[in-house]
Amino acid sequence: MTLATTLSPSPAAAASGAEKSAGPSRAVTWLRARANTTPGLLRLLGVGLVAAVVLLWAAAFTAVLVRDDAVGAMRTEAAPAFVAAQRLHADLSEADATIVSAFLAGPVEPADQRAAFDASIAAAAGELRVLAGTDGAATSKDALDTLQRELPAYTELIGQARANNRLGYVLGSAYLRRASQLMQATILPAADSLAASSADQVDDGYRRATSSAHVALVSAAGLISLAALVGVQYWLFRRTNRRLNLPLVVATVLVAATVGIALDAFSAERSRLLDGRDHGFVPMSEAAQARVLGLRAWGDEGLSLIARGDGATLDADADAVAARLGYVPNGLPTGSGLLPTLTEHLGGQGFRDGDLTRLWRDYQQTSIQVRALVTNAGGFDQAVELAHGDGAAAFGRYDDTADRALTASQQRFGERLAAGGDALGGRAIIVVVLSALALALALVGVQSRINEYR
Amino acid sequence: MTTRRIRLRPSRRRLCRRPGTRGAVAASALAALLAAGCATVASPLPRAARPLPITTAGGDAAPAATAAPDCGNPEVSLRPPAVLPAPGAMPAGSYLETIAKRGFLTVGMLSGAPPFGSLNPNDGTFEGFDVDIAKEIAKAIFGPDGASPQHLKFRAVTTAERIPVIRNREADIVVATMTTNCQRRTLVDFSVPYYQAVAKVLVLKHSSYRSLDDLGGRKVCAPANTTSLQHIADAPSNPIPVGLPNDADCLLALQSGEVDGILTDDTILIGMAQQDPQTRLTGSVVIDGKVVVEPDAVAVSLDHPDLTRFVNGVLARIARPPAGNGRWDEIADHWLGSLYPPLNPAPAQPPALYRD
Repeated sequence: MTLATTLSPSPAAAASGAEKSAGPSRAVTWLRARANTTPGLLRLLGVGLVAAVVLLWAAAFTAVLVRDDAVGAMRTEAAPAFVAAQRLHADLSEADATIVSAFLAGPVEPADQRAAFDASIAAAAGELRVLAGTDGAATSKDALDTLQRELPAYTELIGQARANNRLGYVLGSAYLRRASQLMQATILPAADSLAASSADQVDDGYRRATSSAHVALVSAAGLISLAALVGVQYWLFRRTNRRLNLPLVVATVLVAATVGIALDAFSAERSRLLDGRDHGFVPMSEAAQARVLGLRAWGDEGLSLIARGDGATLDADADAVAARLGYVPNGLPTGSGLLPTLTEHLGGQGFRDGDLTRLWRDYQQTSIQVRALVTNAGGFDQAVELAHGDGAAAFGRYDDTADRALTASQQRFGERLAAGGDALGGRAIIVVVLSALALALALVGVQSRINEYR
Repeated sequence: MTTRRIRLRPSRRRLCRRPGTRGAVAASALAALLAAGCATVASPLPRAARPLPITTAGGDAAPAATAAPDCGNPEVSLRPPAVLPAPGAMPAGSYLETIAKRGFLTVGMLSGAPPFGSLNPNDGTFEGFDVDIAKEIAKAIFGPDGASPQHLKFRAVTTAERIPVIRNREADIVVATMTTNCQRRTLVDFSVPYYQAVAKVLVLKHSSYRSLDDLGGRKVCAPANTTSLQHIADAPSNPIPVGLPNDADCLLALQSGEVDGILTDDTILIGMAQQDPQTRLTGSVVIDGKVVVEPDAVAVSLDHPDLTRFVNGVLARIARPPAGNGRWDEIADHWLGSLYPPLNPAPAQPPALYRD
């Protein structure tokens, strides 16, 4: 009711509204006329206070909602899609490397490797279904189409490779090479682009969930509200002999609390998301890449052996992979690259489940020996034996550890996103309630002074 | 790094919580907190986690039709010594002695071209016509156990690698269905031919192609860096040459409809037809009115004429009796005798011609 009396336009204001030609000068005159009387001035100040607190309420409420929505969207869509795309990529790489390794064993595919291949393909198909279910960007639509079209083509080529290999025909290895080429040149890049578009969504979510504009807006609105409240109280203190206007004092405290609670929530949410990024998202995407690249080098080695001398391109690719991981072809570390970076990022989180750099070097040493044996006359059998024995074991240790690092950082990323969301949980309602109370008390405080003039 | 970050966090939060309340203090505090603890957090994909493009091959460009340098008859080679040195008694100072002292002969061998050179998928050993020829040479150097893995070491090669492994000293000889011709003779030396293959085209059984002449404008495959690929480029009907790394890659391409035919030695094509019964061989390839024959010879470094002479001596020794011991016929019968359809004409060792 007080609100209505305060805000309802006076006949003069209505008149000024009607005669637009009079323009601002009439409004100014009207305002001056109002300000000349103390109750009129108090009413104007009341309107100002209401505007300031409403501004704060709107800013804080919107900012909390936007952040909550951004974190929620990341938790339910972008992050699971990113994780699924990375899993898909890893599972497909694993399938390809496994089948290559199985071919080295001879015409009869070892049962465990066949089972591992089938499991990887089944897992990839499952992830593909998950990804098809999330609504992604238009760019990922193409990638999904490619994956859904080419994955059956890949398994069909593998089927032909198996059938020919079983008969002891060299044609089998030609089909295997063709299949692997399809995987590496078409299918995996599509999985990459899926992961990239989910990563873009994560990036976008992070920016929305931690926008500094929210902090600036809430701080500015809070400062304006506090300044207005303090100013009115000071003016009342000077004008009247009453020292304290209790409702206004409480309103000031409530406004300060609203600002404090909102900024505190933002800050807590931000620091949790930051932790999720530095100790979840970053090591997660690096571990996924470390695993995928490792599998690629391992597959290259197997294919190079199967190609029996025609492995120059494959060897060059394995060298490029090693360089990205941080090692020159002869196995020495370059001092930079993916594995040292990943180890550093994992180190802070107490990931003590194996040293990836050491494990990779162990594997690369066997790979270097295998390559030397292949080009040595008479060394082919030994090369296959080494690749299948010590090489496979060393690679398995590297891959298992990379997988554990991936799982650990995925988990941490999910936890931190959830914690970030929790920091905002319920804050929107608290902000609404506190602002409404502050608003009401501000009006009560001003109105009680106005009433003294009746 | 991490500890520092953790220590900073409380102070940032305090800044966020209590923005300054007045004037300049407020403004500077606001600016500080925005810069330090409340700045927007971006989360792009880390650089190290971005995809690595795959390394691709340089591509198998089809050879241009080139005129080979004229060296006369490329099948003519060096005359073998009147008496072949006995195992364990290689002439002093010769490359043969180097091989004997080293204890093993290295041979470049195809691994995917049955029935000439292929890896037995069950035990991983090399086998085929070319392998048996190499074994005869090794036995002549090392004695009866010369064919053991101890004395005879195979280096798996692709067709494109056959010349480089000789020139890089990675193999002493290459026995890999390698056609002797004048162009190659500028890079490596050849023995006399040990086999005379005929170039044919493999097509799908139910296609209408009868010979290379019917394949004008169609894609025809051959392994990269082979004389076969050159023949496709030279053919008057103008088929489109497609060079792939291995014979088997060509068969895959034929099965998947990427090419309409494969041109290479009839013997290799028979090996392919055995892997895919839905294919058949066409008539011999005829260019300039002549049937294209591929005289396969053993490649040896130009620096080792004594080895070339020795190989020629071995090839003369395995000739049909009474001149030789008849081993060539046994090898041919073992690897080619049971082929179906049978080779026509039946395989016979090409005559040896010497230039000195």
